[in-house]
Amino acid sequence: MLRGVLKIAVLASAILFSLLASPVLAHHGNAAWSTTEITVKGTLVDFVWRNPHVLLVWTTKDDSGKDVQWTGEVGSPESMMADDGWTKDTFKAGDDLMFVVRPAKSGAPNGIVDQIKRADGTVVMRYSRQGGSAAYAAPLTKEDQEKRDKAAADADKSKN
Amino acid sequence: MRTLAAFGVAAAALLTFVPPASAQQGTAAQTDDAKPARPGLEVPLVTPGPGWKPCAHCENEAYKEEGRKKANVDKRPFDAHDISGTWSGNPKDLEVNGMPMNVAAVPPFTPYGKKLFEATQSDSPQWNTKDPENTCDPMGWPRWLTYNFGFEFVVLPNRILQFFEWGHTWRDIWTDGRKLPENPPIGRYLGYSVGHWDGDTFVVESTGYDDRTWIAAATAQLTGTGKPGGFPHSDQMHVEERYKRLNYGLLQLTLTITDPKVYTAPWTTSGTITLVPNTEMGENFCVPSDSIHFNEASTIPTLPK
Repeated sequence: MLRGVLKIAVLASAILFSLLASPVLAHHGNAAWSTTEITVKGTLVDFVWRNPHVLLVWTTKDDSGKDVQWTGEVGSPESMMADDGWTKDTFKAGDDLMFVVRPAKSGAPNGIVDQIKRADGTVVMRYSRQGGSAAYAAPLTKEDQEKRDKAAADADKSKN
Repeated sequence: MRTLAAFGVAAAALLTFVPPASAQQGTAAQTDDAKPARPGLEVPLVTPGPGWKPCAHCENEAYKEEGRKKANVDKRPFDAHDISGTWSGNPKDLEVNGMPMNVAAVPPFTPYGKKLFEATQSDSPQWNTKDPENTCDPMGWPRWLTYNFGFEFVVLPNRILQFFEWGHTWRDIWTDGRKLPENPPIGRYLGYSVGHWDGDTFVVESTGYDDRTWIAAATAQLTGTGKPGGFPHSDQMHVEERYKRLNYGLLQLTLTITDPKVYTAPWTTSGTITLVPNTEMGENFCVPSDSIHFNEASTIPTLPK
């Protein structure tokens, strides 16, 4: 179990995805990824601001203190510009970030990213567009956000 | 085929489901004091700088709606014979980009068509391995239209140009009276297209297609085999598009595919496409090296060993 991976069962998000999931993803289906989110804290290694989907690569520590490199996928650059105001300068290597991801079922350190926060709590990615146009148009509700924040805080407490 | 039809109906039901997202936006739009009035407007609009406009796909739905409101698209006077402008998919059609094909209306395959369809099916349930898009092969027609990140009609005296942001390419729709070639010397990804006005409807007829492209991708549910694939066509495919400007901001499209080598009946899709005012075409190439990197970095590692 990765120390940096805080397992958080977020019921609200599961419901959200069941409502918003589209049968079509642009570049691959969603069968390879779990529908349950986890939260991963990490330090950014690379910000691949490219088509077809923007990738973020970060490292997090496992239980033995060893760095594990994760790759997270978000929407296209244009989608990220539109929905969260991202530009090529939004992230830089070394940024400390918290990722809410749907991890790969295979166990590979890879996930569809649903939300990103900075270390100071600033939300830089509000919600995922990877489920299709419904998700594309739907920011998290205040209630969903509060549940995510509480789950993350609880996970932090249990870790300490 | 029956399985395909059943899944097609199910998919259509999903595609016609109005999501809470749209409802949420709609509700907010009707309530002046709702905060935020439209989720999305709190996001800074990204442009290259003063005097530049965002691309159609670089505005979120709230900004698009604001732009349409400012342009007064519903009541603004318009010329029915002028379809120029930057257009994008209608978000109500529930497709990420553009107008979706009506997969519920796929006609039965001919025996030859069935073989082609089976040949498109993936090696993996999780990833559409044979999709030409994986390595940025040209998407062909009408997939380039239904996948659109925004397109622009530019009207010239002898033709109408249709520019596409995805792939940053265009097709010529000749309006100078020429006929479609009877036996084109080479198949084209975007075919040979001629257009004419039928009353207030701009009719585009096209043929002469390269048969390596797909009409649309097919999910694993749609193929009925548990593995995704694509809807094929032959070099005999004929496509008719009928564009009608319903008002300044709305373009109706009826698209009919006739390909007797592959499908036993014509396949028709209808929908509407919305004008995206105050935007400009961006540059959205499908870059093979980027796509290959993406596949290797974020798709292939997730597949079961």
